[in-house]
Amino acid sequence: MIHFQLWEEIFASLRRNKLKTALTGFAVAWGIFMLIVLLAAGNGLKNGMALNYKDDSKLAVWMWSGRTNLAYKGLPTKRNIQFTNTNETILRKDFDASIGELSPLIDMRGKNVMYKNEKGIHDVRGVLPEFVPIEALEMLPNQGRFINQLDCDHKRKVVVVSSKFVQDFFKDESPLGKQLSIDGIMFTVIGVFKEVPRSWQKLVYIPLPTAQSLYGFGDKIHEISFNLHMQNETNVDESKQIMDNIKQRFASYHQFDVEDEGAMGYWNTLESFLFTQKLFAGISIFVWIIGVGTLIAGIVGISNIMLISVKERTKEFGIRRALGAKPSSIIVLVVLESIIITAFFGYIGMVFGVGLTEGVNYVMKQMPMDETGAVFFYNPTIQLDLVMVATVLLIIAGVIAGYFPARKAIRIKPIDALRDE
Amino acid sequence: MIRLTNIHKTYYNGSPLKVLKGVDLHIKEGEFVSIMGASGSGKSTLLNILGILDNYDEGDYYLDNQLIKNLTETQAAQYRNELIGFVFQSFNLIHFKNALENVALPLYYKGIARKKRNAIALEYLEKMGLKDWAHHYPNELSGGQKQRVAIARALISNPRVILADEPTGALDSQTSVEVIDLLKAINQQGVTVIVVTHENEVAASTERIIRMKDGIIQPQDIHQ
Repeated sequence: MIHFQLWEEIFASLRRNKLKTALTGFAVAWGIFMLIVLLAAGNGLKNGMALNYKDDSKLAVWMWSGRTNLAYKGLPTKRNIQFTNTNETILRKDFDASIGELSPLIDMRGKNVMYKNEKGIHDVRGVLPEFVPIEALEMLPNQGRFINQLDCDHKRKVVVVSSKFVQDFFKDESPLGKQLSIDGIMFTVIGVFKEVPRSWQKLVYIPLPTAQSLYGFGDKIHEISFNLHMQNETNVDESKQIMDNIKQRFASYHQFDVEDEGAMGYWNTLESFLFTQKLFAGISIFVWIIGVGTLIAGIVGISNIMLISVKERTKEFGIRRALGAKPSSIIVLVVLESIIITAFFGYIGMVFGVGLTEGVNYVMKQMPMDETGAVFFYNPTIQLDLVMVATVLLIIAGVIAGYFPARKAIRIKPIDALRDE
Repeated sequence: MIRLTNIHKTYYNGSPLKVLKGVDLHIKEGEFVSIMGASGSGKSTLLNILGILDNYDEGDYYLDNQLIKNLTETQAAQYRNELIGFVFQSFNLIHFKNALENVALPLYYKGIARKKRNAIALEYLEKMGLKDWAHHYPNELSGGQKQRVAIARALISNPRVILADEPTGALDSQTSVEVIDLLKAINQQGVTVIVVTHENEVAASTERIIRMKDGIIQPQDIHQ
């Protein structure tokens, strides 16, 4: 019953100051709304990144050769460095323990591809069978196979095309066994791989030796791709060490300075993946700081208003104390009032925040992926436990916002409070 | 009931102002007493100390044989709630509470349930002839009605002492008489009543007049 009276006291006070209550409440609602929206946006970025890396082999490394920038042992700069099959042999021989699947690549841009009346410009890539796990290629079931060792040994003129390619060129026909013309040379379609939504390249695959011999590359290769082979698959330092060793080995083979950035380059997926992860962890922290900052601004607002409210009620508190109100009962009155404002309006802000983020998520899911398939924002929502944390945070905030003004209210002597006008 | 020995009180607002300079006073249980004096004589300060609304610097104050000294605010609140009822010049009703709620408030701080305390409050309002005004707010009441509500509020916790600070100061002479008669009736039920006033008519209707001058009580007024 006493508690019922307490609630009555508090709501009477809130009713008396409707505008004040609403304005302060808005500050808190806005604070928690912003916190939730920002956190959700941060999550959206993080989830987007996670989705981009989801299918990839995180251990894939791509290496390419270029031109020297530094003079080395009397050799001039601007020398072309050219990878050949020998580089493959070196890797397989000297780095056997550190390297899993490996495939050199021939990359040919803008080839004319023709089937009956259908024409298109495609990039043609010569690869080995081992390329499948490096690129995490997925073959469509019952749609043939990828390039195998026999295709390579016999330099067969076979081609693997994408599901998108099949749609464009074959419509409802089965592509398997059909003859395609690539720059006038006829290839047989042996399989279909699943087009990755985000791939920006129109690619078809042919056996590496076929590409080398048919298009006059001899034993030259454009790139080498491979998967690292490590005990601990997230050990960036080890992957960097391996890459340093490989670069050192190639530098002595091709006679260039190890420090030369131009002669040889590589992309270490693991390194960039973990870097990106760190980046997003950083963004996450940043978002928390801004969000909590906004919330604190709201709380300071409440505390301020409570201070004014307490000042206005000095005389009332004086009367109450003359009638026997203990200091604790005054503190409870003020703190509870503050908690109610923060909790109620905070909850409204939370509902709006969660509503907005869930709404955005819903709309995003309804929309088709765009042409490039690049995802940088995905599932921008916050977890339930975070909402709990926010609720607890709000109540603590309410206590803090109310406590200091309340303490000020009881520090003043009853007689001075009674004299207040 | 009340025993003061050598009470000193100095206010430090800028230059120190010595208000009470060694006050001695004895008031027995059931007395009806008025404290008179010119403004600045220290009579209001004395009443505030008696009501434990203010502290004193020196001396001893016994209320109902208990030494009232260096109390925590919580203890002071307890004594005020149990022993003392206040009647102020400006009534000091809480403006957003109706008459009934104002009267019931001391019982809330005693921890008495709402229904019960509202019933008791209504009883006291009835005694004051204000039953029909129970649900009116202070701004809907006349000065005399407000003071009667305040007296009901002072009485509801069955105090041993009623402290009234210029209870008629804001009232016309007709209502003043009514209020004084009320206080007299309360006194006749055994409650010690102490009235601070500068009006001779009010003082004359009490049983004993204590005159204050320059922060001390005239020697002949210390005992009855």
